[in-house]
Amino acid sequence: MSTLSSTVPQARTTNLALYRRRRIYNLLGWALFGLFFALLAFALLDIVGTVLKRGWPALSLELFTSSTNGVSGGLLNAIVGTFALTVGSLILATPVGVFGGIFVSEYQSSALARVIRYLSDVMVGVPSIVFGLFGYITMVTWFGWQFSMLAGCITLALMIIPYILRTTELALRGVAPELREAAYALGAGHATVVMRVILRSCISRVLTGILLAMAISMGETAPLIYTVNWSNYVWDGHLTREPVAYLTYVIWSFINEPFDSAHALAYAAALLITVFVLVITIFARLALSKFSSNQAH
Amino acid sequence: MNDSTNLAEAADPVVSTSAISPEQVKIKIDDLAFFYGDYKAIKGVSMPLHTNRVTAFIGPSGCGKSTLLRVLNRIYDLYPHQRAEGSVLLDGQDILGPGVDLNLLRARVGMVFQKPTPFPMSIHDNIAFGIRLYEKLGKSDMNDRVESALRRAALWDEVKDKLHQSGSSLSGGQQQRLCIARTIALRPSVLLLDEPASALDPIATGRIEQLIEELKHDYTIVIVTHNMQQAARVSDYTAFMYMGELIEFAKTEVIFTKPGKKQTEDYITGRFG
Repeated sequence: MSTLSSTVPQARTTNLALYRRRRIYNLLGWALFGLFFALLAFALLDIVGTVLKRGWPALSLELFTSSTNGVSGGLLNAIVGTFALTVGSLILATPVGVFGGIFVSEYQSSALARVIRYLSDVMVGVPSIVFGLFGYITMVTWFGWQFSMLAGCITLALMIIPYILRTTELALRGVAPELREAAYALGAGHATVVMRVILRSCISRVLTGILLAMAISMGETAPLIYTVNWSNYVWDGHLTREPVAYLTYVIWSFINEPFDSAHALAYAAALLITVFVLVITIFARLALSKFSSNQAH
Repeated sequence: MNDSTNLAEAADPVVSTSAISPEQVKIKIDDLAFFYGDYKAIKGVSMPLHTNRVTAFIGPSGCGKSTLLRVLNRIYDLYPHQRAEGSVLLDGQDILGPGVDLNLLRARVGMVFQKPTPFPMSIHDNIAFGIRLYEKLGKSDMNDRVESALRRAALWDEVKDKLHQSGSSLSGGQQQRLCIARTIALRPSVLLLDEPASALDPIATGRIEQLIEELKHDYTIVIVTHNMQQAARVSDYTAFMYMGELIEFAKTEVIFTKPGKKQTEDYITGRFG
């Protein structure tokens, strides 16, 4: 600093005034940043703290072995339902989202790709309860499926397809163009280049998108209220005409009941969902860091 | 076909086919123009590329040398607004003409890029990838082909114990030799090198240059380079380009000792560019 300013003495005074101003802005920036971070961290810690404090005592073996009985009992039916709904919606959404994303990325400027991209952006912005109503009107009543696993899975799938599509598209577009040219330069066709080289080089980012979509679908309530309803029994494998239990319903509904057992179940369900989503997110992070370390070499 | 004999005799230029018929033309570029949309990047370039010789394209940035290289395997076809006019005869057949199968063309005219581009798969599979596109080989035949390609690219000894590790785990220079191995595994007749050593350190660069020296006995090589010493070291012919035009094409020793044009002399002596 001192050697620098002594070599350019004529610039010294003006630079110092500018420098002081910059330092004040810098401090201001850091103060604002700290404030907002504290607000965010407080909200997060409060949520996690409450869920842990109230949910932890409610954990017991019974939660995992027996179903709800009115507002007491365990959560087996809800746990099974949540997993079945999540897996089912992913089975439906993954192929559509991934292949849709590949299409949109490979044919970026085609009219169809633009339409798909626009629709998927709109769908991300649609409130999830609207998806629930859509499912209710079409599948539950019109198709006559009634409250059912299939109606719930399709509704959730519609909701998460745009996420998978967009992350897949961005993952593919992030691949270096040289890699694509190198594959074509060996005389490979379009399909081979995309499936064997491009998709493969960004597969962990695509997987991350799928895992995050999985977390979203696991945490949703609104699309399911009108499509799978609720049941006190473990799902018995029927795709239609059988309502299904799920964890977020327990949180949403039982918390309003005037019984301690209902509250305990609601907090236990909240804790379980939080842990599941946390585990999924950690997996997503690990996949992503594996990706970046592959890129680093 | 004659892979094993080539392996044995590669170091001896006397037996190479080029010695028998000295200046056969592999590729004849005739009145070539190239457009990026409306912008004319190459203007009326004509030159021969001689069989089993190394031709270097030199010139300042943006002179069209890389563009010219990218015409020779029609890799520019990937981009909708790029087109070429004129003719490029490869063994007498116009590759710019209609009905050319681009995949087969690219198998005959291999290309290595500036940035090493290992595919996201094992070293073995990086080589096998291209072979599998055209040939159905049994496991041991495939292993032989992979080994011979890696030996040819002077990489075998460094990777023979880790063929199943990821291609991206190699160093930059090794990755570039992997890309060369991957390209020659298809047994092309022409090898296009687009600044193959510009991302590498001097030692790795030396290896690549040595490799070019060995490979030219079996391949017609075209190299684009920013590095004039490199052009002087590795090439037999040099084409100097400037602003989309071919200024001078001659034997390398002529270009670097008594160039015919003032512009060429200015460029190689570092007065501009």
